[in-house]
Amino acid sequence: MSLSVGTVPESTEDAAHRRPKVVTSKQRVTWVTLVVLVLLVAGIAWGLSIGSQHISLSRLPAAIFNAKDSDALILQSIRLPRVVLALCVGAALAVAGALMQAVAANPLAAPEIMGVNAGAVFVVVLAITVVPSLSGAPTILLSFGGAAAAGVSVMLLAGSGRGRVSPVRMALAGVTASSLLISLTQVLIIFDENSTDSVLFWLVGGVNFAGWQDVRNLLPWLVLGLLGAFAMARPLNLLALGDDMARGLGQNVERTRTLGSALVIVLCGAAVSVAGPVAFIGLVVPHIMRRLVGSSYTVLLPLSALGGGVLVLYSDIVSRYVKPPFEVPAGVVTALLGAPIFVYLARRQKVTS
Amino acid sequence: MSSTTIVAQHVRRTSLAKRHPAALMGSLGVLAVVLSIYSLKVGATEVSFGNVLHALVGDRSDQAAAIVFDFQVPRVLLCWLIGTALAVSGAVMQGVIRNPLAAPDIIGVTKGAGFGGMLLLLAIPGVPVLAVVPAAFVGGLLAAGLVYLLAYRRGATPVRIALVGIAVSAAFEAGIRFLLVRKPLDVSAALIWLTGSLFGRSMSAVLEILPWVLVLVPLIVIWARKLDVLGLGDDLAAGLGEPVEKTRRLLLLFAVALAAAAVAVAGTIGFVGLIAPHMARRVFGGKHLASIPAAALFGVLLMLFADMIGRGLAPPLEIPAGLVTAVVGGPYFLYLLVKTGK
Amino acid sequence: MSHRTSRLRRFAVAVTLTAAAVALSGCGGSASSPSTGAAPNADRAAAAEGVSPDVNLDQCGKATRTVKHDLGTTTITGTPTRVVALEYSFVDALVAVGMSPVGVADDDQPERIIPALRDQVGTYKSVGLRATPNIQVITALKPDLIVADSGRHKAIYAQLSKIAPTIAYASLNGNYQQVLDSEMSTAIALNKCDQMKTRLAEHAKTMADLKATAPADENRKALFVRASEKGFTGFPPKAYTPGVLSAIGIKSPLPDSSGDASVSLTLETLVATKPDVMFIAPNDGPTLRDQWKKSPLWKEIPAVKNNASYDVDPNEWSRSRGLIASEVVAKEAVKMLYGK
Repeated sequence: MSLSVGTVPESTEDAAHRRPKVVTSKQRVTWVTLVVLVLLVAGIAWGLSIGSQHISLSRLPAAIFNAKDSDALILQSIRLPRVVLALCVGAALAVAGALMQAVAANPLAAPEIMGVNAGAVFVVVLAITVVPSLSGAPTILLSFGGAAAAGVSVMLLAGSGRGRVSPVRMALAGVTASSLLISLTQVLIIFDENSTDSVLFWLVGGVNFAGWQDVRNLLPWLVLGLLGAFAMARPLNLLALGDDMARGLGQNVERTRTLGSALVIVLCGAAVSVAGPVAFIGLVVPHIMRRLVGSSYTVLLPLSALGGGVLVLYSDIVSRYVKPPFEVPAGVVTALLGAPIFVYLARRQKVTS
Repeated sequence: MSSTTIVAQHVRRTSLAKRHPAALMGSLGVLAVVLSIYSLKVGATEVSFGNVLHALVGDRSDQAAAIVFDFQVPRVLLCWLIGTALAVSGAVMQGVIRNPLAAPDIIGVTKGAGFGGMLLLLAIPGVPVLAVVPAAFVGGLLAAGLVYLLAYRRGATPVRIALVGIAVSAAFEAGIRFLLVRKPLDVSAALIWLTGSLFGRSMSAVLEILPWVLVLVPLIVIWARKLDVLGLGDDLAAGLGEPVEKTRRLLLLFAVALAAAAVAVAGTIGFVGLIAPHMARRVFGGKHLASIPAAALFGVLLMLFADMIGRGLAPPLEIPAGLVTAVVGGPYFLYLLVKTGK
Repeated sequence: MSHRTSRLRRFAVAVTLTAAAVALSGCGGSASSPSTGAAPNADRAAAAEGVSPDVNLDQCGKATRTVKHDLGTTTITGTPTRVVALEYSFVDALVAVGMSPVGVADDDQPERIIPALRDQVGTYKSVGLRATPNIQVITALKPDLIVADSGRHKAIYAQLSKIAPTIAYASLNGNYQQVLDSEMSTAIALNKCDQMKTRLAEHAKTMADLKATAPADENRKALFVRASEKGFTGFPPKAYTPGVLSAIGIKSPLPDSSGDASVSLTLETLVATKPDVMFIAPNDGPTLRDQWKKSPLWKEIPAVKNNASYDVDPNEWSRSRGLIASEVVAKEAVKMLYGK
């Protein structure tokens, strides 16, 4: 039970088992950060060099900074935004997941499990099929609306407003709401007889169509969400001690929860509106990071952001090998990677009925 | 649906259910039969009750009666069988897992069956349509088996089954998406199947699910008392001499087989297995001998209602029944969450 | 495809003669089709221009015809008059022999039936989505023939057969050759062999004429794509529309190897494909193309550089795969490319 942040009643052996990880060794954080950064740089170089025509590493810097030949154009207008968007989307979803787990006091809380992503997708697809003339900025707002409606209702209904809820109950609520929203989305798609690729995009999610415009749409919300989240690290750490303890230490628990939820919605809504429902980032990344660096949000949130970016980046790279020479959405790869980790997490849950 | 809810509420107020459960069960049954006959009439073309009557006595001389006989009757029969299978399956799962939110959708059956069916549909083009049913059935059983194995740690505690079920479902969902992306030939047909629909189902589908329902449902009803005992908790049940793990395993196997059979013939129709047992428990209380048959009846009513709406709302377009059950079941489920909240 | 085109050339003259002969004689059974050569194979080809030898023309004109199709063999007696078409292709086939359907699976969007067919089609009853046609409505129409898609409607084939004799051909995933074959087979089922042979001959001539308008050294490669909100779907050479274009001498830049009916393109793969010409069928609303247009790389695509990127109607170019529709496509393509 390494990952839990004041979850459901836990046995004492767990608490004892967990303690060493809360006390984070600085050295360890440094190492993890270094490794993630190395992966990041390697991933960026790899992501930039592969594609329809290979651009060798030695030519990368020149191609990035002066656009003359077509290599440079491909790099600047296709691969760079794609890599940047992968990093941004990954960061947004991973931080949203970490926030959600803190706010819900539940290690299984994650945007894709709580119906937030499904809500955003449903509203966006509804808008596209019913009012096809909508585009650009409104999509992001619609996505916020969908994410908010789905996320808030699941959390309220699962009873998270009233203190601790069993992770099972919350997961069941979220999964059921998600499945309702996904089946609604599927039916919209069936009746629209839309193009196959659009369908797959909204069911799976990915960054293979990324352009600078997507990055521009996402960036302000991402910055807002990340800064907000980092600023909340201390209250979140206190919240992890339990509501009573946090109150005792002068925290406004309700305000922390509300703010945290709002940030989740901003981050997920924005990410889904440009990249579709890329699966499991919000569940898997915070979990891995928590195992590596402990559960202090001061380090967990920034490292989750980095880790999420790296994971989506590598998934996007792998997705190009699924069906070469053409590409499939990266969400397929994250789903296949994330699902076993979800199974592992679920198995490890100490649960009391 | 609305009429059944009203009936249910009315009954609760007068506590008729407690005093005359048999009478109430009977009237639910009558309601289901009436709805069945009425739904024979609903559809894209004009069909009179006269036609329906002709069809029911097997007279196919007029064309409208032939429509009823060839296309509507199998669908209504399927509503009965699928509604029963899903609802009883859900009731057993909720009893065994001791969690009111458990359902075939949760324990991995639905997604596993979906994956099995899709694997065959998309990976092997030109496969005979009939082969999809066994493939989906096997997929559902395998998924449920996997859930049980992964959840097993000195016995499979109910809550862990539910959690692992969600995760395994997600894994199969990922597999379904992978297949869709690799072979996007006819995504729309695959999606219709995944949403759950009785579109184009004929008598052969009825015959595929019939044996499972005929054998397993009576078995489960006979075992209803064991479900009550399991509901007391593992320790108490063991104290009463019940081989807890063995009984649980067998009951779950029955429930999984029922749900897999239903998904195999109609695709992934959600929420019926979740909410029908609830309605039954609310009206008839927690004794499984009464609540399982009642759940079956509520399941049948839900399916009849969903298919009728699907056919009658925007003809000639057919709305998949799975969508209607999701739209009806979703809000009911949310209501349940609030009600069962602490 | 090259096999077919070479045959086209061989019979270019004969075809004109055939067409004239049949048109003049007015009735002209299959026996009266003039022979153009010694080989029996060539005889057959002249009898149904452009159709592959798999189509059994021996059944033509018989009172009871056994028609082979993708899902089996179906026996049809008499001349069907009430026909239900479950794909736009089959509406095309009916119109080609001067008939109109009583029911069409038109997705409940009648505007998807292209102008070239609309007048002849007249009034019909919609039987719902192509993916899930309403069986009850089909029954109520009392059809005497149903033409179904062998992919989409495989699962309901048995039920459809109960209503009326049902033949099924590849339309959704069918290529140009399969579509022509299915038109001839449908005509055999409809007992309209001669009309279809005449029409096929006309078609071969139309296509040959259109091909002749292209300069002899035409070697530009044209990509046909469907553009949607989150998709830019290219069609490889084996698909229907590229097949039609290749019949008028325009090749596709996509590789032939992949077994897929369509491939998802990104801006990068699109640029790497280097199409000299692009025919883009956009969906309603914003599409990926609008976004890509802003990229400097878009201007690097030869088709954009040469000012040879054309918007086309998805209904005409993609949804209505058929003989008449293919002529519409070929004519439009020639008009766009050569201004004639």
